[in-house]
Amino acid sequence: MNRSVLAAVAAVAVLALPFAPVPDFWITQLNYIGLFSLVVLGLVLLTGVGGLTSFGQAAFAGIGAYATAYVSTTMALSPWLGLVVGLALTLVLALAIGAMTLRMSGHYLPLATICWCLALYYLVGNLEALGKYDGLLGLPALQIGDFSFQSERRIYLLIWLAALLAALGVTRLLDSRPGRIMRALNTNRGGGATMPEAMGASTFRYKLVMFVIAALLASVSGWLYAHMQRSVNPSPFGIKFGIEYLFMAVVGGIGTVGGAFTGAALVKLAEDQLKVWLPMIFGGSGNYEIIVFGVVLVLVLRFAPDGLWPLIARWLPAARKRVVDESVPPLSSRSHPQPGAALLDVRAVRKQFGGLVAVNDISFTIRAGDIVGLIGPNGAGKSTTFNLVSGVLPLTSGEVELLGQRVDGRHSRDIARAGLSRTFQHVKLVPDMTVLENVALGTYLRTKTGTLRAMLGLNAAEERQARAEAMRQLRRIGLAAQAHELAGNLALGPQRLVEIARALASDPSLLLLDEPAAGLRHKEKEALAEVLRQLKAEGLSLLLVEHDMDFVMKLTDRIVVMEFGRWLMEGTPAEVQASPAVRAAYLGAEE
Amino acid sequence: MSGILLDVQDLHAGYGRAEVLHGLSFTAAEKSVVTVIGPNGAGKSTLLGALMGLIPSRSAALRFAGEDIARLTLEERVLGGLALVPEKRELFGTMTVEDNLLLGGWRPKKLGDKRWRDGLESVYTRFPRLKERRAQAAGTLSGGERQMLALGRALMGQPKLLMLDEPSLGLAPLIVREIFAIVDDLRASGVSILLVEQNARAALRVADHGHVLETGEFGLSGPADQLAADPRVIETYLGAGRKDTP
Amino acid sequence: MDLTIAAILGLDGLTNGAIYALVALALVLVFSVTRIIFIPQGEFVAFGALTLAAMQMGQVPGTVWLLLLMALAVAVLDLVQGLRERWPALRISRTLVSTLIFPCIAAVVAPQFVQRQHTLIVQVLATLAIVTCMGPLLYRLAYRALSGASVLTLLIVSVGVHFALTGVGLVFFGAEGYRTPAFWEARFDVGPLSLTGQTLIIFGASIVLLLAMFLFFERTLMGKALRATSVNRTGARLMGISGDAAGSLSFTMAAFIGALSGLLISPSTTIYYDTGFLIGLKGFVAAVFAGLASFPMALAGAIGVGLIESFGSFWASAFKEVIVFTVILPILLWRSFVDPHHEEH
Repeated sequence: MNRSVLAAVAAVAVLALPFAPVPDFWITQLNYIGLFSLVVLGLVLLTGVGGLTSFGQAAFAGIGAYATAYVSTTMALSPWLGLVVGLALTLVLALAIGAMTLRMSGHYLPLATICWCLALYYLVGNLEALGKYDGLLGLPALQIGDFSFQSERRIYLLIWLAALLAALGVTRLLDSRPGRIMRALNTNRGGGATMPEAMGASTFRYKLVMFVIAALLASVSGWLYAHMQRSVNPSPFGIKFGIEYLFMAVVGGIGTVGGAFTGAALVKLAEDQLKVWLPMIFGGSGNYEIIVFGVVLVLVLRFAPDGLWPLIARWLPAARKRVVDESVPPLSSRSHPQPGAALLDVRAVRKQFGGLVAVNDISFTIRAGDIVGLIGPNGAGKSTTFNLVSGVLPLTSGEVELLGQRVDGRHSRDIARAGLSRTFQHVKLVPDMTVLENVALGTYLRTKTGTLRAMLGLNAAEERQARAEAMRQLRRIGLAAQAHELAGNLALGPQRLVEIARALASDPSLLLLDEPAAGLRHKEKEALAEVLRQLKAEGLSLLLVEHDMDFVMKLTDRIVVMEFGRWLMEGTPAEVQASPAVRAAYLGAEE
Repeated sequence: MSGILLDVQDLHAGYGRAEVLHGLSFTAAEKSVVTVIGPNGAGKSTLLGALMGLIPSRSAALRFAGEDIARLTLEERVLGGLALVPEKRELFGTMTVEDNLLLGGWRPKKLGDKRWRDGLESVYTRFPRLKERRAQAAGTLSGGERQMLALGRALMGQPKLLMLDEPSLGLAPLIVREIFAIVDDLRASGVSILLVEQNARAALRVADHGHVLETGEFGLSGPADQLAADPRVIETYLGAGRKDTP
Repeated sequence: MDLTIAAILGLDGLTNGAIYALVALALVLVFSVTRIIFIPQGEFVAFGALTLAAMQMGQVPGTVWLLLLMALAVAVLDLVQGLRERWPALRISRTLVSTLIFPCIAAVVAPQFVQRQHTLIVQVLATLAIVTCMGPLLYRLAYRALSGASVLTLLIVSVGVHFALTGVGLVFFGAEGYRTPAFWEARFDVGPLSLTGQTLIIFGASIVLLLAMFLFFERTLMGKALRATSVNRTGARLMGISGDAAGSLSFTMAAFIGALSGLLISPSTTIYYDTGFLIGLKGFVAAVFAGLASFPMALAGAIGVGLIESFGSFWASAFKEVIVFTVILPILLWRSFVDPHHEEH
């Protein structure tokens, strides 16, 4: 019995429930839980996985509800058309709002979500055509032919079918090519846009996709709600519910599909109890339960920031270990230049931050098959140069040519596409993904599955290829045994090796390594040096920045020395070690 | 014979999963300048960060001015007389030079010294350029002036031990000479200093005693003038040389 | 629209804008020192108004009990910490006494105090004292343990605190709305405009507060220390300036400003237990316009919000909230481009 079998059994049980002698009260409760879960699933994707906090999902539910209300009452058309209109309207609004708010960084995004939730609420509540704060009444029940979904037990089927399909789609999405990029975006868990962009992905596009999916899920929830209640009014779509949805996600387990259902169920059931007990304790009537919600929210964030689902999940059987099928045909590779051909040409590259010149007209060349080291004392501008060449930082002036193409001024994702890959000074792995998944992320540019295909499960063949490729690279660097470990559990040395494997998975012509030996102990450095020597023997071209002189001297053919942002000298390791200028740069001038 | 001001035994420190310092032990006496030199990535800044309490560490013993400071917070160590001028200087860029210096006086003021403001005049005497720019925002100063301001601000706190993290960083050689002349002057007026530097030659010139830090462990140690003449120091920085070069 | 109407609307906008400015200042202060986006500031506003209203009616305001509860909770936390870290008994008792002394005295004295129907000014001072003391207690209870957390986590905590305080407001003050008497009942006619004494007091109090804050931050070492914490927290710590002490002080000031704002508007606006949220959000729009960093810009933004609201309500009264909250979106967008943001190394 593994987790997927258990999930399938649970799904069947859930759908069979209305046919069992379960009291009506519980069917109603489960209807609400199902509706909430749909919205919260969207939040799990958007906030839990993507790190984009939204307090405004309730507004999208409102759009779905009001669209169908208007279409099926005022326009007296089919409620199914109401669904289509609602989804279309939601799509347009989500794209517009997303395009604007997703460019916002950090805390501005959630603030924006509060604002448009409020704006939509007050708009809807004041429009005559939508019945203002009284809303619209008399919505028809859903039906397919003669089969009506009017009763609670009938609409339950639609609600839970939708919720379970959504859960399946989101689960599939997270375990796919687009999903891996999405999982890398979360700045709250050490992620961000730099690494996925360097692997070739447009992070803005994926943020928008997550935002739209979350909005559409909320919209479907709103549609179902409208035809369950047979009426709509603004109050379930205001900021209080917006906050409550996020609360459900946080309590349940913000990053997991299981957490969505857990949170929705827990909060709904608790809320009902609190609504009964608290007014009795305090006398009078009112929404006292929000006190408990507020306190619990603070406590959960303090003591159980991953929510309650992980605690439950520990009791469940483990997920099936996926064996990697390495017999599948390999992914396409690019054609690499002949040894000695021009690979990277850096010409008078300069970077200025206001008045400070960090990189001052530096030039050097790398030919295919070279192993070049870039060294210099602290503050010399080495990492900045790296970031300029790989497109992570924009240049102030200068030219960079990769394989004959001008790449200065281009995005890092375009430069990756041109054949450059890199690792980072501070390791950028996704700690919650396995080592294999992290390396598979590197195959982004060699694969093509999009969001829709992934959600529908049509990407199985390509996914197998990507995983096989990841496994190949892990074997190459000697970490195949750790393929299914969570990347966050590895020590720093192996983590740096995984980063290299990920970079190799994109089949680059040139590999940039940013301080690959930093923080490693002696044995780990030796292992790393051995791997790099092996790669060199296979013909890979390397440019590395490093502080450990022994490491650099023994590995590289040629060294470029920087000081104060300028080119100081260039030569073989022996020449560099013997140079008085280099000694002065590192040890200080002799008096 | 001056007393032991700082006593460190078996210090381990690091960031997250990576341990950077692997069991360092050393002492610093009153009224002396001790320097820790070494190549980049050796852990020099981590050492000062751990002593100051900026990053967590564990040790067999960590004693300052006779007291065990291992459990004290950063602010408590500052109030106890330990001062750090960090690598990034951490000045209050949008505030004036004078305000930066006055804020350095927070410690003596908090300890009840009614004449804490007098320190301002002596800092201005030592750094006349700061006096010229007293009303300017700290962020508008040049690299060398910023270093002077950071030093002046630390001195306002009347510290028992002044720790300097790479004072030469990012400065042109002429300015480096100026800064080290100031460090020499401070040493002459009896201030105890722990100096961490990449620029080994300048550091060993002003220090009494030196330690070479290499990937988290002390290698060579000894009186500064002896270290300055030791060719093995160069090897620590630039590697031991390739055996296969003709 | 003629000049008279424009003038009246303008005055209205400025008056509301002054209140929003006070809220915005508190928000900017708290964020710059602690990185907390303090959504519950509106609750301090409501509590200030409702506390005075209760006193006016001869009832013990619920905030007295809330204050006592919070103080007890903090005392328990301090006791546990002191025992665990083995503080000397003197230090433990000093901490507990300083936390509990005012709330206990207030709770004991309150019934008699409200019976005596003191003059308005005395009641105002009592209100300010009670609500201001909640500031540092709230910081200690909800935020201090999370001082290293991300801005986002702190924002969600703020939302939780807002929920809790709103609900508590309902418990202690009920669902009814209240107004308090104006501080100054006079009326002045200036041309077409009719200024009430209260309006003048609002402007006067705002100006005095702004001046006081300016002097505090520019002339006193404590004020400079607070600024330093917001400019460079690490640098401030290296001077021995405790980030927690700075946070606590900023919360104290925010609570005071909030209570004062509530007292200033409650003569002209009916305040309910949940009115604070919307006022807080509008002050918040102004604070965001200032990038949560600049006091002068917060002032300008607040006046802008007040004017947009009053002119907007003239043309499309029902939609004035929609206008205000939609206008903020491009401002947020602009801000997020202009402000440097540190996503990762």
